[in-house]
Amino acid sequence: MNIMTQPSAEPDIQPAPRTGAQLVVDTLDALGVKCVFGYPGGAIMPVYDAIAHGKTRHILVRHEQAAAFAADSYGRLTGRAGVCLATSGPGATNLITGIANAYLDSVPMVAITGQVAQPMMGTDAFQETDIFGMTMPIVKHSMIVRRPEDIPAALAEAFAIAEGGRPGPVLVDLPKDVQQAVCENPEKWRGQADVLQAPSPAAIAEAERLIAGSSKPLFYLGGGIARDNASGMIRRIVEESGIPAVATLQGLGVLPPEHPAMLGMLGMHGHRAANMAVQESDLLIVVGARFDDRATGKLAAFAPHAAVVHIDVDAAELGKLRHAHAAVCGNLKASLAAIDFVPGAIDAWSAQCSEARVTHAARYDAPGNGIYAPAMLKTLSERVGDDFVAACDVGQHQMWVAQHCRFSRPQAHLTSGGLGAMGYGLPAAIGAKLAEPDSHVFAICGDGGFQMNIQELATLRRYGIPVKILLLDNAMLGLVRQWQELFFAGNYSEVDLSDNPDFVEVANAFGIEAFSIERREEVDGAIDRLIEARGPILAHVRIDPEENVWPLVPPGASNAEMMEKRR
Amino acid sequence: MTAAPHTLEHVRIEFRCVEGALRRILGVIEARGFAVRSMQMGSDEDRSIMMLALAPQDESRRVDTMLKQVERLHETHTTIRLNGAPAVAEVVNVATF
Repeated sequence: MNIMTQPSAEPDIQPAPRTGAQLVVDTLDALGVKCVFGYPGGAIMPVYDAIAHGKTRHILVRHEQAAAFAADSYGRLTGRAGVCLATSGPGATNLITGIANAYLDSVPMVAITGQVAQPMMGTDAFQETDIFGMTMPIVKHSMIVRRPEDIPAALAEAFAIAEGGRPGPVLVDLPKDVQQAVCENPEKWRGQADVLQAPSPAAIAEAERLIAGSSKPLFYLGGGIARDNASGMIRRIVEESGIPAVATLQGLGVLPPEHPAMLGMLGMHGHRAANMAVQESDLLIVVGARFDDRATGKLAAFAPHAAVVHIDVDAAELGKLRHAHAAVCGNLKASLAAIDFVPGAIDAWSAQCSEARVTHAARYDAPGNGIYAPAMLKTLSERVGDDFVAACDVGQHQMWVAQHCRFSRPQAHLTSGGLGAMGYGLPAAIGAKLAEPDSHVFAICGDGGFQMNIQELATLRRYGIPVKILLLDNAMLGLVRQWQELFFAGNYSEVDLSDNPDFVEVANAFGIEAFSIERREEVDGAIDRLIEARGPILAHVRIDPEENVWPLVPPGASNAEMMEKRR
Repeated sequence: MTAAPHTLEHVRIEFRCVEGALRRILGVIEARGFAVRSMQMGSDEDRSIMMLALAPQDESRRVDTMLKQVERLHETHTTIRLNGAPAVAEVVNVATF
């Protein structure tokens, strides 16, 4: 383990004797956990018995997957591990998608699962699954706690690991007998106060040499910047150096779209100015990004003229997919502070990038009277301003949000990037609103993804959580339909959702205010109504089933081969 | 597709001998594109050492990258690529274990 971790806190536990379940609740309280998302069941019942007496607020979701997604967004916004809680067997397996989501997007999370009693483990007991084994590939760490006295230390370690270094999910599996057993002398975590690796002076010197010698440098900004809360530092460096920038899906918001150095998102649905700058650049300065294939397109043809300065907290990402000429490993802020970003003569390059930014700016003059989702999203985000937080599902609407919404910080853009999990939007919005009650939180969903966690309307209603839902309904699995149109000769296979329910009636049945629009002149009024609503509300927006997301880099192609909308 | 025998990579991994560690380490090795062709392992009370011969699935799989992925597991103490040219410091580290 090359990256060490910092303990979150020294748990101050109630005097013994306590049951294991009481120690779980005591420890969560002591660690300052304000909110847990969960769903009870047999093997976690002792913890649920104890949690009623703790300080930590429990939010009862209606499906465990939603608990994990809500914990994920809570972790993204607070920087502290979001916590989800479930029983053994199906409760635990229902968490898996959310745990994988947190792993792939490097989000701090602690997932606590009940387990059958230890004598029953390995006997195929009722609601027994080997969740410890099943989640190994998608956790940063995991543990089965075998003794009640180990619970405080195990949970403290779990939080420290989840939040330290490159964040990620940690699973803590608690057999029922451990929860029930009484403990006289709980052990404290005696983990080392770990220290992140300092960036190598040689790598820093090489990075500075490459930057000084570059005439076409380009920042490539990733999600690690949000995790390390380094946006402000990046903005200063960009402004002082004059180096243009592109961002990955997870890096959007580090620079707002109106920033003159920001060329937009790169990759499959990236902005043309961003992709072309990458292809022409002679030096990529990659900060907290991992050369994801959706960003690079055909890797062998990606940034063919560029040397690479790669700055990341995770040594395993350096050189994984693209050789780094200068591999700077360490905390991002420390690394950024150590490097002098003084490029060579880049005026011509900056001017070229600025011109491309204007020339290839998105257009919103779509023909017809139907609602053009990109324009509506842009207007909505600009109207709300810096308090805008959006949680998306996955599909066309997700890409429109990325392309057209304005985010003032990367944490405000809650999107399932690495995993691409439909159903993320609504539960993630719930977690976001509980993490930041003063922000204006929107769930922006497609009709496919929305129905994957539609039951969470009940959670909104129960707690009166004022999440605003913008449901973009094209009665299709739109992105699959688009690919079938473009790459499968128009063979539309199982993408028709024209038998969707009446979403307004569904929302009303859950006790949620809702309305529907389908004409362009209704958009401004709908945005007003969403912004002004004091409680949860759903706007059902009918859009053209044949609208596509542009630009598009075909799968397996170079980012230079962007397809554009035919006008 | 399996690799030819001459492409076998030999590695040594020292790790904390705790529940799940072996599964976790072998899982990373296989998931990152290396098949285990042979393995030797020994443990004392809390430390284990394993020596592995690995076959990469294809030429794009780099053992150095995979070993970094193993190193970030919390149970892992050290990893060494034996048929490369380990740094002196790494050799000393092994010798003192």
